[in-house]
Amino acid sequence: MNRALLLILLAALVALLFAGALMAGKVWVPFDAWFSGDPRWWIIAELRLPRALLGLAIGAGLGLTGAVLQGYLRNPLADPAVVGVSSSAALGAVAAIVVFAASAPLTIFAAAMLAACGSMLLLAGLAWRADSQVAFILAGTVLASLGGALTAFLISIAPNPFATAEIIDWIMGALTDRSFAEARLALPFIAAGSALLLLTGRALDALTLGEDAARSLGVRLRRTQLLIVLGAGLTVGASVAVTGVVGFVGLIVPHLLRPLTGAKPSALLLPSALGGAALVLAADSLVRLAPGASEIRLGVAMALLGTPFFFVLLLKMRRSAWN
Amino acid sequence: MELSVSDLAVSLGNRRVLRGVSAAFQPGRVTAILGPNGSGKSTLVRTLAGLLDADAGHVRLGAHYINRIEPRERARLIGYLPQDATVHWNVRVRDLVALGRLPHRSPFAGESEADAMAIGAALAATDTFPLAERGADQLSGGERARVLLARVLAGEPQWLLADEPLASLDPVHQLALLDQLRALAASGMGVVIVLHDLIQAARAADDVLLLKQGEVVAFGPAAEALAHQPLREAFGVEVMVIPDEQGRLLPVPIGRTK
Repeated sequence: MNRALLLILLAALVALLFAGALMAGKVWVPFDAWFSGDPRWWIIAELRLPRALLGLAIGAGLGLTGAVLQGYLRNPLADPAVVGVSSSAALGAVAAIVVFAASAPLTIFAAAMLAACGSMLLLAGLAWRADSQVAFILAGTVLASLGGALTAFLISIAPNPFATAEIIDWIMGALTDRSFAEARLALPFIAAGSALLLLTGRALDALTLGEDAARSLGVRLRRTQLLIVLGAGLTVGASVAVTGVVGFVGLIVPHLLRPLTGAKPSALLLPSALGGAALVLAADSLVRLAPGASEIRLGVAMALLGTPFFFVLLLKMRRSAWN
Repeated sequence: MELSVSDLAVSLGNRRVLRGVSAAFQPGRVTAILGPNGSGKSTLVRTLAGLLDADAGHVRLGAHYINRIEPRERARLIGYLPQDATVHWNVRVRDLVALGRLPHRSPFAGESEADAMAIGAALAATDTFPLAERGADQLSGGERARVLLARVLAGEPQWLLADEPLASLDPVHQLALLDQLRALAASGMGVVIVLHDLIQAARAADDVLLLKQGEVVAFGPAAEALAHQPLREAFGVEVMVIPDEQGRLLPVPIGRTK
């Protein structure tokens, strides 16, 4: 498909879903209420706008990170979880809840970002000398399992059931009751991280030919790796810090869009950001529309939606189509 | 510009792969590097391309040390065709060939007219124009080899370093590729290729460098380096030398040295 047309269509879809996310919920706020001094406007301004903004940013960040990691590792199974940064960020947040009995968003955010930054520095250090993808993916996997194990340990020593409930709530990932405070915290980090990730396009294209050929084309692989580690750390770290772990977006979105953009990794970056934003906005709106007093967690909904969708996709695709 | 190595020593991990290698490669000529498996051929080519650091000795391009040249500048001067012909995504052939222009494009700049010309010329030179819109997965081994060569040619380098470009090609495509390399050398490009086949080397190369266990056994005009004694020393094989219809001496292996 024509690239400009695809970007316009995706942007339009994101705009539509953003508007939908403002309208949809337990209380339906129609479009004409937005500009007429209707008291329901308050729902939008205070509750739904920050939530939709966060959904937009997080979806875009996760989609972009997934596309970059799949290109960098030349592996269609890669997603933000493989760098271990989401589980590290989650570990930081859980540690703040258990150890410091923190409940203020700022404390939890700071702890999650600190853990995310720490883990990405560690990853950069572990993979630096080797400058190969295998070292990178191994180090990331080790960090991910360490983060998961320590999180489980913290849950097991949680002082009371309330802390445990709060942690589990957190790990499942949700945009429920997020305010402008969280949006203000996370958006600059996600924007900065995404900017770093967008700089890697050409290096990712060159890596299609393998590491040696990429270097012979003048690509500095260590610089690329640093951009990716920092970019993924900031983007995913900030996302997890405000919403908990929302999986699947980074894995599915690049797969969905690859047949439309072609397989060239750089051509996939912007569309994946837009596609990720659309997916999270859509899923979060569905979560709010579901019947019942409480909401299904976004992370859970994403997995429930994502899994069957992905299976259908796998069945439909010929092997050649997803390489 | 001459591409030269002096007293080169290179290790992979803890293993010393090349030692005391000195040679000067001339532009406008085809130089073949031959040697038994594990003799350090690929390592030499990768070092020539500036991809590996030497423990001792130097690689120079003209007056410049290869590892002091800024990577993009080096990439404009030296095209490297690795042995590994894997293409990791099903990228369109034209996009693959366009990758050869990366060192010429400033950051964020789109494809210029010069880029499009060079890509077109590279597709034409390798007879891959009809494949331009195909995906990399829909190519045969021979087509893929030509497309990857086109990728290097699109960069319009002064030097072409190719690691076993004939591997996985049938005889017709082997001959076609060698003709291509000869034509490139005739146009002034320096061509260094790793080969396995003694006869192909005798046919296509002006100069031959024979390696054994990381050391140079012989380096000189093909007819001299591919003679009985150096081949016996490098490979441990006896050859029968047969002239072809153009008078070139082709060494045909007939048995192992006793």
